[in-house]
Amino acid sequence: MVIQEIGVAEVAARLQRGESPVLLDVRDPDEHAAGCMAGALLLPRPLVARRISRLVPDKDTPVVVYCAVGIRSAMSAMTLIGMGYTQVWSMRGGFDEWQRSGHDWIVPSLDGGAMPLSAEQAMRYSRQLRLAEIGVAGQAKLRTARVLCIGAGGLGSPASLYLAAAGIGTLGIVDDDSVELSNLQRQIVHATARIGMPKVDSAAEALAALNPEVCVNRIRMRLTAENALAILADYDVIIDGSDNFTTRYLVNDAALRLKKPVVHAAIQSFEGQLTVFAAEGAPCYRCAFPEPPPAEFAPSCQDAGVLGVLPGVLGVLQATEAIKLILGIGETLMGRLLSYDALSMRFTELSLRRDLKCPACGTGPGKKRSPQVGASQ
Amino acid sequence: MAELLADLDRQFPGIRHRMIDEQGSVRPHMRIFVNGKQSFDLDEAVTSSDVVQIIQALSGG
Repeated sequence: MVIQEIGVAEVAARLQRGESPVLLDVRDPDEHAAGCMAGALLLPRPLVARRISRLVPDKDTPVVVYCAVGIRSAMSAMTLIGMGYTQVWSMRGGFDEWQRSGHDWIVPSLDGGAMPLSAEQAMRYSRQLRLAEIGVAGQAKLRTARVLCIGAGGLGSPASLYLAAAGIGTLGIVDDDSVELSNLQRQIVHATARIGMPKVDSAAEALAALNPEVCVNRIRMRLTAENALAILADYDVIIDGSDNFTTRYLVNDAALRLKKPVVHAAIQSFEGQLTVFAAEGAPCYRCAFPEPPPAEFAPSCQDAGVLGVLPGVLGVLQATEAIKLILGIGETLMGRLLSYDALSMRFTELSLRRDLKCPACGTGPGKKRSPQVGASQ
Repeated sequence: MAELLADLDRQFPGIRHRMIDEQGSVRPHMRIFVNGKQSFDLDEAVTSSDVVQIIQALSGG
């Protein structure tokens, strides 16, 4: 029995000429879901003999069989010829070669209907579409997600870059500062050429350059007790990358009221802290830290100094937790505070306890009076 | 725990006052963890193999 092979260029040329052979994808469903030729029919190799007559009843129909590299397709072609199909080709090099050669491909929708992703999107996100935990459905969740970054500084820079790269549909950025030369040692979403520009504009420019599909909402203002609820209400996940305690308590209180999860990180010198405050039943920021330290014990990065890489580490972890929250995968840091010491290169996990008397989220007897949103103490 | 803090204060004079108030309570902005679990009790027994971490909230971003 002779199996005819056909190169990807010849298949592309035939399709271009308007010929319409059946494109039979004999890979596994997860491979198909991560990307396939437009119009291909999925029929995994073990099912070919059993199901082909239902999919292709006329045995004289031209059929181009493909798999990942050309082995399963050759075996499937042999099966088809043995069953009496007269015009069967196995595509040499398979879908991998098809992609490598730069031909168009698509990501099929789960219901086989309209394409949820363009060929460009499928290529852009191909490495994460291959992950079973993400796939097409997960990418669609990321695309419809709305994430708010409080601050476009050390934490907000890497967090927003990676979230944009991952295909988060809408990114809000709250910051009322402008880019300064001293920011650039760590705030990598900005650039030397943009010194003096409002940070929200500078960040929007960098994020658009990385991924033009992301809608960036520039919110050039300081978060206050008056505007916090209205600003946070529009988003699904809040990234707290602010640089002061007043804003951190404000974010906590507003997010609690709106039942929005907060991915919290804070840094100083060589140290960082990271956790997720996720609405009901879990400890909140006020449970973890009921009061801010006195000002003399909590210098800002400006006063105490900060290793430029430090917010990079923490900000990327914030983006990771946000993506997990959106996708509903893995185990978030809810109830756990991750403490990072860059000098000893140690991550330590500390268990946070919910305070039933917490003024913000407590439900037990003796609960302290609810603070106004954002009260520092 | 109280002994540990006293020893720490001998090595770093004044540090105990930053963590413990005049009434002998852990200051509300400080958090003490023993083997990763939060501790509020200065009478808690600790051994040489326990890991005690004392942290405060950071604000930088």
